[in-house]
Amino acid sequence: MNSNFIGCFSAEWIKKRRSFSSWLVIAGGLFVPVISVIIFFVYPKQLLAIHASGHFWNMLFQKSWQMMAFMLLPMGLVLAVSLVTQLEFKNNSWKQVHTSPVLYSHIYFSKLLVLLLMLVQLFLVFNTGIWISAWIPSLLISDIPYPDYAFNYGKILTLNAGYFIGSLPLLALQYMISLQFRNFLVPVGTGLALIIGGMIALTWKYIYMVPSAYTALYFLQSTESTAPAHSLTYWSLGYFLTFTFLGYWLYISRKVKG
Amino acid sequence: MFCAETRGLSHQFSGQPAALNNICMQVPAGSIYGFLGPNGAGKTTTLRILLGLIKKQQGEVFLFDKPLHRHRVEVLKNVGTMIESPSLYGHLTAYENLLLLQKIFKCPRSRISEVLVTVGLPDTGNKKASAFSLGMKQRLSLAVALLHNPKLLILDEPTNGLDPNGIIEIRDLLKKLNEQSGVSIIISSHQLYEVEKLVTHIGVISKGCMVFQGTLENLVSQWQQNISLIIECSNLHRSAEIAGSQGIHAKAINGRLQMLLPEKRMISSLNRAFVEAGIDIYEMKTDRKDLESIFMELIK
Repeated sequence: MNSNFIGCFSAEWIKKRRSFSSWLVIAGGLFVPVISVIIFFVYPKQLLAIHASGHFWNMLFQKSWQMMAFMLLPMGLVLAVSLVTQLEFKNNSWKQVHTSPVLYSHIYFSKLLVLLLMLVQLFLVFNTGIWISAWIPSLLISDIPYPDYAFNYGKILTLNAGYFIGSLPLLALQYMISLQFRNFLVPVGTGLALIIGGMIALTWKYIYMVPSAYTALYFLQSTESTAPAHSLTYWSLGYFLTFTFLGYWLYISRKVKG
Repeated sequence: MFCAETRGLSHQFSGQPAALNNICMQVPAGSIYGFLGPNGAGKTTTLRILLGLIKKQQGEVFLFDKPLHRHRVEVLKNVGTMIESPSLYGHLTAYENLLLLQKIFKCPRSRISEVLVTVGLPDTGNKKASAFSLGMKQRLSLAVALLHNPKLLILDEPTNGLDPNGIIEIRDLLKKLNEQSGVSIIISSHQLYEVEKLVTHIGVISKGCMVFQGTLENLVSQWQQNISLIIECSNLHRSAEIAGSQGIHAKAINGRLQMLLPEKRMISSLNRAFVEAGIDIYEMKTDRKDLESIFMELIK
């Protein structure tokens, strides 16, 4: 990686300090685990049932991902991506960015890299949160046993990789849209409409072509609720690359850059 | 050598009349170039095209004698900018706003504290830029522009929001940068009095056309070539005859005698002749224009 790109990326990383998007990553990652802990305190039998299943970690992760995959992850993506690009519009700083001695490609791809790393952060916070959500009730409620079961790292990593790849098309699409509009409501509204549309069309036979539904589809595939008729991984990566390069072309084609 | 130059720059926003018409701007290296014009004349559009923020439609842009579209990254390393309203990240501190640019320009980190002191913002600590007053934001924007020791500063109305003391401080700072470090400066303004004490060269733009470009002295001397001497006296006809007898062509206009300003000794000789002929002189004046009037004439 060349040093100019690293400098540009470092600058982008500093910009997200204390920004709403960086808080959203933490809050979004902990939301489901916190809700789970509350549910386990109110209804300890639910946690006991998971303990009794014989596949504790697998069950717990599937349960947590269910809430995340259908709504929270896609909505979080739409919001976080729009907030990151909105930083430049809101602060009137595109003109500063575009009069800096960096290539347009460095600006575009360093922002994208920041978004991808924020997604990784979200997954780390979320997975850690799930793990903690299993321990807290055991430590505080005497009837609930400790979850000291074998942890299948390979399976959990595969599960996370699937959701990560499934998130990429929506992230790239949202990035492309939000770079085009100064008004925050346009990219957010479009993103939310795409998510809701995807949910409505979940049983459609061509749903594998709707990128905003991929995390939900991946959940259904991983729980074998629906047969994997098409490879979501290939579709996701294909869409991701298409939206990324289309977004770049739209970005550099803008006649007014600040 | 010009540190910034445009050749035949024309621009039109869709559905609107031409914003710029054949602008040929020439900023000599080492100068302080005042880019003047009323609001909406095309100053900001010119500066934005000069920096590549607006895609040029017609004409050429050169920075340090290199075409901008082919050497954008290379030439921008030596340019510090401040275009219109401050470009600051409100959720970051002054230090962090500069830190992120330090990463891009790869200048020493010690420059951050130096420029904060230079612009008079050494003690803002953890205060976020969004909590700054407009004047503080302007100062921080100037610090951003100065961070990497640029050879050319492009400042669009940099004293907006500053109090009178702040304006004087910034003016002195820019003068010092120009004189001690040889930094060339383009400073746009719609007020002549803001920049006349600072600039060495000016360009005046009106309705998208460059109506004057050169030094301040050039501007003044160009406008002082046809100054008239106006005399109000008791006998217009007789005084015109006396002036004629001294070889001065004078006309009666609006009850006053008007002629091209003669040499000083001719004025005193004329005055003496009028007194000797018993003509009372009530007023004797020139229509010499001050800089402000010249500017107002130019942008009409």
